[in-house]
Amino acid sequence: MNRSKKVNKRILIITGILILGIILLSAAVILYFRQSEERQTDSSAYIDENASDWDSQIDSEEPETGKMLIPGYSSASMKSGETMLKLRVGNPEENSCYLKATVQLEDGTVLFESDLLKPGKGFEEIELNQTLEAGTYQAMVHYQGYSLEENPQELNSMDSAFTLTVTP
Amino acid sequence: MRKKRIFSAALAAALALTVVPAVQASASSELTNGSVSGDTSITGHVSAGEGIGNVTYVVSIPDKIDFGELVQPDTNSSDPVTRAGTVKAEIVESLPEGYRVAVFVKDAAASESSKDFRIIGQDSTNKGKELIYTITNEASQANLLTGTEYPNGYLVGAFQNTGDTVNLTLALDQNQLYGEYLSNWAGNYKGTLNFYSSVESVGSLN
Repeated sequence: MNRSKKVNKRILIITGILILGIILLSAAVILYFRQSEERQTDSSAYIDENASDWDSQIDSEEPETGKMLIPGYSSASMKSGETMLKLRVGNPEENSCYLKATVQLEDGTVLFESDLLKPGKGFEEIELNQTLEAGTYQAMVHYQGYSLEENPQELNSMDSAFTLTVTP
Repeated sequence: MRKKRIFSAALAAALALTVVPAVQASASSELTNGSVSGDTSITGHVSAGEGIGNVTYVVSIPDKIDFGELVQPDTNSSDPVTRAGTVKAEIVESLPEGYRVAVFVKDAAASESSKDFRIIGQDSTNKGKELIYTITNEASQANLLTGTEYPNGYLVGAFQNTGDTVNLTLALDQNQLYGEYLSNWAGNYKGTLNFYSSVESVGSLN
């Protein structure tokens, strides 16, 4: 009888541990998918979590619906050997669409690529994926628009060209 | 018996939790990335000064153009569907004398062999089908494609001041469907425009 009680107790404990394990595992899976859904809009585009509040610092009227406001630049500069570029890349808060920003040289070399930027989000400076030798380059910020839907649809795009000066 | 009930209730709760993730996980759909514009050889240079790297102008462009439901005409005559589009210099700041914010446009799928603005069949039923449309400057009534072709497209406008606006008319002639076997054309079409902006000297623009 004592042996039977001990066995039952053991079974109960093991079952309890198994159930607890299942509960903890399920909670972890739920948490993972919830975070994944918040971040992900579809299999190949993501909301950029590294972007911070961004103001174009240019007062403009709220556009009519059906328009995208795209920032433009004259010039930017940086030092050779460094990767940080002071270039204010972002999505004006007046927009009702995502913008994805790609900074590239005129030969197509991509220097920086953001994920989807929400309206009012952007960067005060960006980190390039490579250093550049001293010189003057023609560059652009390729702004690709996406709708604010659950599965963002591609909209029109605009390239904002500027002169990039890299000093020794 | 009591232990059995506790066991059953706990097991039921655990099983309920394991079902939830399957319900919450959602399928993702593919999103094609926009094409990247090509090289440019027409550029302007503005002397570096205050606010390097800052936003110096903001241009607004149409986010998309929807021609809606197209209809096959009964006769072989022009039957355009038109839409309005506006390109506007929302803000222009610190532009040097003799320079403008030039905005160009081209079809995102344009190639050496075809510069036309077009929408392309997206479904299996209309795969390979294209419908061409025109973009006209409302003020001059000029078809953009009849103007100078710059490396980054056709000139929409050269803006000097905040508020400068170019109104455009986009026209798709449904006559392209006249006499066609509609089942080969039915479905969704899509096209995107690629705009390009840069600070240019007036002398570099025709």
